[in-house]
Amino acid sequence: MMLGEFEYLLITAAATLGENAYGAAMREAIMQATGRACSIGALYTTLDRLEAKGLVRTWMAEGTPQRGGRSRRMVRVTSAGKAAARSFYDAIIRISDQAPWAEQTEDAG
Amino acid sequence: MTNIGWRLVEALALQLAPAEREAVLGDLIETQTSAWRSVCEIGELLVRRQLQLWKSLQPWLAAPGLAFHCSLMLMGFSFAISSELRDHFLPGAGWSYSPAAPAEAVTALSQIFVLLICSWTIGFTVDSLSRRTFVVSAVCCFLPCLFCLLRFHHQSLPRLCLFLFLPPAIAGIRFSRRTGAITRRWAVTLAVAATISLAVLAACGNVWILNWVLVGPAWYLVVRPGAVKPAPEKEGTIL
Repeated sequence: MMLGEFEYLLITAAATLGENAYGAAMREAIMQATGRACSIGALYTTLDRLEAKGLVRTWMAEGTPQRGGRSRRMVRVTSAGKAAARSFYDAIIRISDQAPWAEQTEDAG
Repeated sequence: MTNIGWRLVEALALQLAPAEREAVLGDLIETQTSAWRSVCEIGELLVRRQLQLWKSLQPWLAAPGLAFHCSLMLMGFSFAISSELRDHFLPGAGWSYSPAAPAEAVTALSQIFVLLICSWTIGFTVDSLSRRTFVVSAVCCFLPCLFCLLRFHHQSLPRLCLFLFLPPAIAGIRFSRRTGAITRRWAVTLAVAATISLAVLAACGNVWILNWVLVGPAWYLVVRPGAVKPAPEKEGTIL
């Protein structure tokens, strides 16, 4: 199953955050990585889609004082989600192998 | 966040499901998003949620498909019934009164049956097809009503006579909300009764061909799996 770009970003953010993956933390991670705003609408509708595909599992957890006690929607990547993300990542690496910007990155490194 | 801004955010968030509302408001508080930015964020989420619903066929069937067209046709029936009642059953209600002949009584009775049954089944079907887009369906029903209301100029009939179909339609919607389904026996009874009534009107030459669309929802309730629940089995069978 091929992921979309934003789906990949969400899955990767959730996998990286591990036990602390929930809405606000994932938004922050995506905004830091991409330098672009991540809207709540995009985040939650994409999470629903990923959950419907069986790529992530979500559940509600207790809130914290910094959230005014409001509960959090926690996210965990399923094994199918990890496989889909791995497949997307491999495809990006393969297609980028001969790309001029990939060489530039290596030169810069 | 300012008080007014926060109240607006909370009012908008009421349109979200309770669990999602909690998560979204919590995220906005945690990231210290400004009130107006929060309004935009929640607004965008609501728009996305609505758009997702319209990806399926049901909202299109319910709103422009049924609510819009059927309200126009049912207004026609409401007007026809009002005229029949004025002309043949209510002496003193108008200058054109003449006692009803048996054929006219049958016509009026058939029209009333069609109006009652079809309005009820259409209300039930519209609500059960797509409850989350019900507001749009209601708008699709009321737009033609408003159009006809503004253009209705009949000296001997009140404007409200166009809306005889609304009470049974609202009853159908309320029944759908309360129970969610009807028994198959009831669905068949309603569909057969509506079809026979319309056939009687057709035999009298009082039916426009497109009026047959009105019995569609009644038959849809018969054949649609999950829209009806099976009739309860009789208990206390003596062996």
